[in-house]
Amino acid sequence: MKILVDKDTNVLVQGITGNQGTFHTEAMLAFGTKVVAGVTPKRGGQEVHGVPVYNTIKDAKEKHKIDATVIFVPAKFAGGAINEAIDNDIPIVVCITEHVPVWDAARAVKRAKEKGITILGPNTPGLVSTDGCKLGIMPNSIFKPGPVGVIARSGTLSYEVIWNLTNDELGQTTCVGIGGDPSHGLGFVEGLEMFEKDPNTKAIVLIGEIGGSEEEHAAEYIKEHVTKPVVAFIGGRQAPPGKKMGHAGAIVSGGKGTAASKIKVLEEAGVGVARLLSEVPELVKKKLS
Amino acid sequence: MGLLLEFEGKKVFQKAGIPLLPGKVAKNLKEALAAADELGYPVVVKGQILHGGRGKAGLIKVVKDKKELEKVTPKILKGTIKDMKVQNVLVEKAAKIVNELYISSMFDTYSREIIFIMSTEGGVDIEAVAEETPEKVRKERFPIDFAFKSDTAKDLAKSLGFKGDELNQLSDILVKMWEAMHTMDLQLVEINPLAELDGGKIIALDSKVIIDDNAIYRNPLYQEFMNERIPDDPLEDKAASFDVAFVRLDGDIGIIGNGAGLVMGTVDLIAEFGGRPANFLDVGGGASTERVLNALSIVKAVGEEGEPIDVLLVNIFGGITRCDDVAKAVIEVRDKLGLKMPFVVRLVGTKQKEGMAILDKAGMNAFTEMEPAVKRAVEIAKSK
Repeated sequence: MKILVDKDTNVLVQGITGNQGTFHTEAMLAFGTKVVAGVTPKRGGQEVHGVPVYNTIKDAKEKHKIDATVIFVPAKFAGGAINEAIDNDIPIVVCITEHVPVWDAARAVKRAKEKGITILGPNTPGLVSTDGCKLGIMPNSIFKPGPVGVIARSGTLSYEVIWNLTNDELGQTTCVGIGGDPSHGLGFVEGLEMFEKDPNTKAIVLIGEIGGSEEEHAAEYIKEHVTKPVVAFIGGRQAPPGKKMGHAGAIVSGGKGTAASKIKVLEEAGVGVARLLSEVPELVKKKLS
Repeated sequence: MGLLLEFEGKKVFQKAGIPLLPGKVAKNLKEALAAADELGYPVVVKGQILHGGRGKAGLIKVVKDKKELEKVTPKILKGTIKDMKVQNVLVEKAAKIVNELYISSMFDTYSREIIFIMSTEGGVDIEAVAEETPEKVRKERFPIDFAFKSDTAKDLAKSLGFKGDELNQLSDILVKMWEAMHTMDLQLVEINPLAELDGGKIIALDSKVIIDDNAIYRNPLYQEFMNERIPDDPLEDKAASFDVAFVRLDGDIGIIGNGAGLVMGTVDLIAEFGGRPANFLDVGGGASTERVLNALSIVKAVGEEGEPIDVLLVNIFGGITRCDDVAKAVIEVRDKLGLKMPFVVRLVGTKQKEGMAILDKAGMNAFTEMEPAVKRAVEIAKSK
């Protein structure tokens, strides 16, 4: 069963002619991804690594079936790019772009939800299905097919964990980056739900970090709905306080948000929390046996 | 995070139409005197600093005449709280306050809602009020695409017992806060206290505003604020200009790495193994010579300004980055900056073997795994 995407997913690249777009299109193709078209305004008619470029998604859709899109446009234009994908009913939108204004992201995500469209990011490393589909910037070499589902807020921290899993012969079904920004689309809860339903996923690794309330919501969800073993790692135990929202934020989250409080609620939900990154594969093995 | 100074927040309020006391910003005593003359005594001199607890720190003073102003202003201008400096002063017309209220609006990015919090008790810690007398606090959530108009605002104010002219003024402020959140890229507006003056007019006596740093580019007002700020930490300012994420910690192990999560994990691991990290520094995408140079020049300065750096830990999970290129860049930068402390370098990516060989030859401790690298760095630091 596929989680969001698989090797047959027809992928569009928005911002394909830029440095990042071009570079990662090549890597995505090398991973086996079916990149069928690209979009950059005023660049229609060109080709990037053999992929035809169109001015608009509408133009691309006239020639190709598109199941998912990955966005590499600069932050100023990212909100517009997501909205263009939503207007054209692309079911899965992965926004790699960093520094997207929070309001732009929130408005786009809200619109997408109303239309049943899934957004990943902004500021996500992307999404990988190990049977040969990558929408994003994760390094190709770290993955291996297998039974573990990975969902993470941070990019590089997830690479480290995935690489450790792979080196320990624990392959992955799908790896999902939800994005490091405060306002993003798909969250831990939706990701956990997909992994719980997927028959190929036998264990789930969740990589969180300080701030926000994603992990707390995940813990609540795991307690109620997840029967598969979950292992977690939380980054930022040593982070100094003071980069937080003010009083209104504190009153809303009620003391939640520190690494210690996240670890506590996850452990209470039966999640194995690793203190060292290298402990993640051991914990997964223990839970699977 | 885009916390604004009080006067900056009040400029946002002014633009949004939220009522204020007359006031002027002054960088020095001369400007403060001119401001007070224009406003008329008595005035309040308020030190502008990105930190709470100004009253206790003596940075807010009511002055009744020129003599008093000349006495307190230079002291306030030189004031500090923790590592922060007073940037300038806001001189405001003093007013008789009969009642203090609390009001805030926050953008909850998780639920995509705006949360209003109102209380009849202002000027105090709202969390304590909510804890002790929950009946005095109202909290309401509205989806960001809700049509928030004066009727909803009035219901909200009414629920706390406000009526008549007070109710109208409050609902007007609520609507203006809602509009400002949407149109000015705001994350938080907190007015504590919101003051009712003798005569019944309600004004924002203080301001706490958080803007979205990612949206500064499209708000000329915020660009103006940032340009005029005196950096509290010049090194942090330099790091920001290099587009690297940097936080000073207080240890002897300097760290650079790529990716916020990985560096956070590295800092955690150093502490886990009993070491003391000197900083957090994410070099960002790609580990080019220029980026490594910028990053290491900041860590070098950390060691020069505070506790010396005993060992430098470089943690690059490249994936697609070429390790031989990164290795060469690290060596080039070490020599260029004249860094004499031992280096521990952890590299993963393509051309890994070649990268390791280059590092070994240059006398660096080269690793492909993170934990042994961190352990080695902690050992070196402890042996110093």
